[in-house]
Amino acid sequence: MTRPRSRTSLAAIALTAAGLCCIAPATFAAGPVTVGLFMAGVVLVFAGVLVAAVSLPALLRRRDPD
Amino acid sequence: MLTPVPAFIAIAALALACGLLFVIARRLWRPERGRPSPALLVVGLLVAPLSALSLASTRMVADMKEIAACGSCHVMDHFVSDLLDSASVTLAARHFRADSMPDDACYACHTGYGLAGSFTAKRAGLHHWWQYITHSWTEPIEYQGRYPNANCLACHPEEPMFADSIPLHVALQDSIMADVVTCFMCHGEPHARRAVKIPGETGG
Repeated sequence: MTRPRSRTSLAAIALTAAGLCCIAPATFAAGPVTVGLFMAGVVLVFAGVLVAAVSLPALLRRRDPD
Repeated sequence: MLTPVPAFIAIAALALACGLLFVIARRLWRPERGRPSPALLVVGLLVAPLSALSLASTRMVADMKEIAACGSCHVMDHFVSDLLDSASVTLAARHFRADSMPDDACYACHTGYGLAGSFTAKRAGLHHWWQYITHSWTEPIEYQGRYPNANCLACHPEEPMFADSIPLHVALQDSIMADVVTCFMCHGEPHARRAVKIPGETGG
């Protein structure tokens, strides 16, 4: 069974992907629900990008940051 | 300020960013398929998500200026229905009928001019959103503070208004410019009055 090479990177990807999915409804219609999702999405995307930026140097060196 | 992109471009950017994330995750999960290249990592983890977020934000900010966005909270039904009422004599309805700001009628009058005006409007909008989801607003809904005449004068030029043809404007010019006398005092209510409604109560 294959184990994840970088749990940090995968966590960053999960955060970012979840954020992008939250943002998507806001591009169709602006309302109280979509605005809330949008703000949550912005937080998730920035959190994901921040974690990714931290783990990126290790990934680029082809080393496991964990 | 970035120009708002069409919704399909924002969605395409979001889908592309998610697709790149999926490819990177798959390669990290199963490295025997080949590790992701440095370019793919940088673009997929940083550039694409932030670009998609920026594009979606421009769309979101543009949509928030439309009447439909303001009317999406049911507590605003009264104001929007008055705005669209062809028989209404309120200032908002008369301006809307004159086709002076067909799409962003609420935003046009409720936003000050300049960068500070947009920022203040967004901050107020966030406050309204919080009040709506927490059911913490109070009825009747009233404009907080004092409506600046500068918002009216931004569209209605001062030169003809303060010319000799309208003696009352000339007489009150200093008071109008100092916001001592508001435009509403002579030109009527901006919106129709509404009955008191309990927060959380449904219906217009």
